[in-house]
Amino acid sequence: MPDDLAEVYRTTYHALVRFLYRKVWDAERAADLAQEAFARALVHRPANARGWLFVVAANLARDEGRRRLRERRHLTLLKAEPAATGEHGEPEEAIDVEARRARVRAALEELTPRDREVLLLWDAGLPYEEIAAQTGLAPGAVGTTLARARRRLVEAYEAGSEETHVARG
Amino acid sequence: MSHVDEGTLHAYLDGALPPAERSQVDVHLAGCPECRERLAEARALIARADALLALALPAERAAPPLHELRRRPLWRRVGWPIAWAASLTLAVGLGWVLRGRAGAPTALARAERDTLPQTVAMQHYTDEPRRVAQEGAPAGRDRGGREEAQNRTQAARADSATPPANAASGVVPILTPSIATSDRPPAVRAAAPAPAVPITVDGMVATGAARVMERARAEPVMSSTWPVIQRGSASRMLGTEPATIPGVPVKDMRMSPYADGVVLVEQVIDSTLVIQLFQRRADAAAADSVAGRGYQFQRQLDAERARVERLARFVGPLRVEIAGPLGTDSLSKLLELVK
Repeated sequence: MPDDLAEVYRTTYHALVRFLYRKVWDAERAADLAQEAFARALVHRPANARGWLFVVAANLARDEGRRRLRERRHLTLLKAEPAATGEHGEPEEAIDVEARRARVRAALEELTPRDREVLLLWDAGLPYEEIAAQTGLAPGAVGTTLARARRRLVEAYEAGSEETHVARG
Repeated sequence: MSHVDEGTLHAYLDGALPPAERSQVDVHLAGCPECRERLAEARALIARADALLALALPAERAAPPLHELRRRPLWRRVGWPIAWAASLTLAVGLGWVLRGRAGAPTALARAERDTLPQTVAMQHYTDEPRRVAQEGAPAGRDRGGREEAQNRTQAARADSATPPANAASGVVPILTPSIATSDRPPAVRAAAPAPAVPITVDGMVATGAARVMERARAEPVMSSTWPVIQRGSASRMLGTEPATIPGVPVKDMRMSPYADGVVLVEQVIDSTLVIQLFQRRADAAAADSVAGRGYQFQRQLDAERARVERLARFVGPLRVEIAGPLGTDSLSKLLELVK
């Protein structure tokens, strides 16, 4: 195996899982898809492994999203009631963590797909040039996009929190 | 230089500006309090966004060694949506070929398949328990008779909720593949073709005694509709390590899409032979009705699937069913190996 891929694996695996997690919102699936992406990299040996991996990962996540959507539609047809949630009897702090995570997720979903992608790629550690290459943005536009994505994320999160408080109060 | 725009400020803070541009910004900031203030705002915004994203992190697990990923099964490397389609095509195609070779299904079988009423399982059930009992089944299943079949759902549920003490000892054929799922006399059933078409790369559903009894006919469900999970998730769902046949490569682990706690372990005996182990906690009282609806729907989709053998036993706290394109004897032996 090429040493550089081993190095990319070492330095990028967790970032890739994180990137995927914010798309599929399931830690196991995210890890699985990340491993899938690396398994493909072992076969294809791309020149720019890191950039390539994120492209493949994004595609895998998109396929996963479509599949889930199909399944959800399917299940909605079948189920009179949704599957029981919170079946694990979580402690309260876990619920808080979960609630915050859900708010972040909801806030991320309010971003435009491109803003979200740029933000997630940046958070995964990709430099501006690679983000530009992946998203088709001009390199000079990445900063502007990131600025907008960050602001919208924060605003959406805070709006969501207010709503929750109103709903609770 | 005019004021620095917000995007440039973010790029500046992200360390993404080329050196020349960066010094220009430095120069401007030195003489522009307004932009310094905006820089501080941008810095705060970035910190806040980073903090929010940090709230949404997956639990970090150690990465498996890279070389292990190489051994991921080919079908996964190719990309599973395609692989699913391929395996479905293969299964259907293979089934078609094998069916031709084994002789077309009899008109009888075809008629039964086409009509396949829901009550078939109930009727089938009436003579099944006796057989099961003879073969050393748990006492809890030893109930025959049509009148008791009326209460079968409740009884079977109770049964699955409290596996009998001797359950772990025996391999219990709870279902034979069955063209003969109707209420025809046993003689006709014996005459029915043996499971001549054991194709299924994709498998069928088994969700424990209660529901298996309710649907005596083997109902293949494409395992591709079952999300692939990792061993860790499977263990968590089952409360113990998933049962496997030692020494046989595990192709994948999947979970039932119907939120009923069933885990499917697929093991590859050779390139064309996949054995499926459906398992769940023996004491799990899963959402029967929901799952039942789901499987029933699936059955409509899969009306043309081949039948497969299916056997079950208790392995520790788990109830495990085996399915695969092999005869009862072989499957029974394999099931005995499950640990």
